[in-house]
Amino acid sequence: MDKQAGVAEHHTISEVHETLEALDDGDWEQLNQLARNRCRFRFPGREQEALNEALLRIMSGKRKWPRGLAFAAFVSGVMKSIVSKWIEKAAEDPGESGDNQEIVCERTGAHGELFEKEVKVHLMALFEDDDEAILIVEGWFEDMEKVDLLPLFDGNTTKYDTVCKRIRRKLAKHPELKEMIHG
Amino acid sequence: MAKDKKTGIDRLEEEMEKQILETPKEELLEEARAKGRDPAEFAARMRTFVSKAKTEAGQARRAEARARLEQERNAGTANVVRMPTPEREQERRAYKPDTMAARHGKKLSERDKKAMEEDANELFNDDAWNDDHSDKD
Repeated sequence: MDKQAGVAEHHTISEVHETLEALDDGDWEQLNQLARNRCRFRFPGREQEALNEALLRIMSGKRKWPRGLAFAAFVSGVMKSIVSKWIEKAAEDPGESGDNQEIVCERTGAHGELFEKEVKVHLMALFEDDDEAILIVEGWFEDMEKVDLLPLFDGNTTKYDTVCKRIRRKLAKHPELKEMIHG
Repeated sequence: MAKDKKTGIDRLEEEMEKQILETPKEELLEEARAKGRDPAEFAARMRTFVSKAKTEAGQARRAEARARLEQERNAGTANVVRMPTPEREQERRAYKPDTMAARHGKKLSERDKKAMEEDANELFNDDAWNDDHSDKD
């Protein structure tokens, strides 16, 4: 890919600034929830840091916004990358992360699977009164994607999406989930 | 956890991301207010952050560009070229008097200088010209 083609494929810095200036309260709330989603389990309490860092990278041009991709989806992707780096860094030097070393090992190292199981147990407890939600969450933890889970809902996409919406709302309502997991 | 393999948490986050992106903004705002949060306050805080970051990002980019230019200049690779000298200036610099000494790339001899002076005096001597001839013509 030549440089000229690369320029055409991404928004300019000016366009990024214009987009940021035009964001309304709803857009900012969406970005807030996307940040919380990225940090909820592995780095609870660092969502503001993830969002700020993502915006700085985008505004400085270190991360270029591809044309055709929604701005919020792009920011979420950058936050995902930032959190991945945090995981790697914490695995290399647990002392630097400022977290309890045991927690870092759980989510990054040899105990990663154990941490996954622990999260799953807490999610099951959270959705104990919602069998359909449990079905979907269990499926996700068993390597299943939407296409694999749809037959459990008679192929009814609307029904599947409705349950996913319930899961999202319940997770968003329970920030204490982080205390449930990390103690 | 394997880096290239999606975990249950990864899938959960991806699905929740889709949900958040598809949910109408008004609904997200209502949910936030219902939880006792103030989305307007959060938005105002973020706008301040962006405004400050915009200034800082601009300053950082300018500083980076200056540093790069300085580095290239020091390395002799700066993309700065001398503008071409105007043609008349080139002609002025290239001018050499048509004397024997100049033709041989030497300084003017005393004899050449004296001859040039005589030529100049003759040129500006009004008496050396025949007025009658010029009037008739």
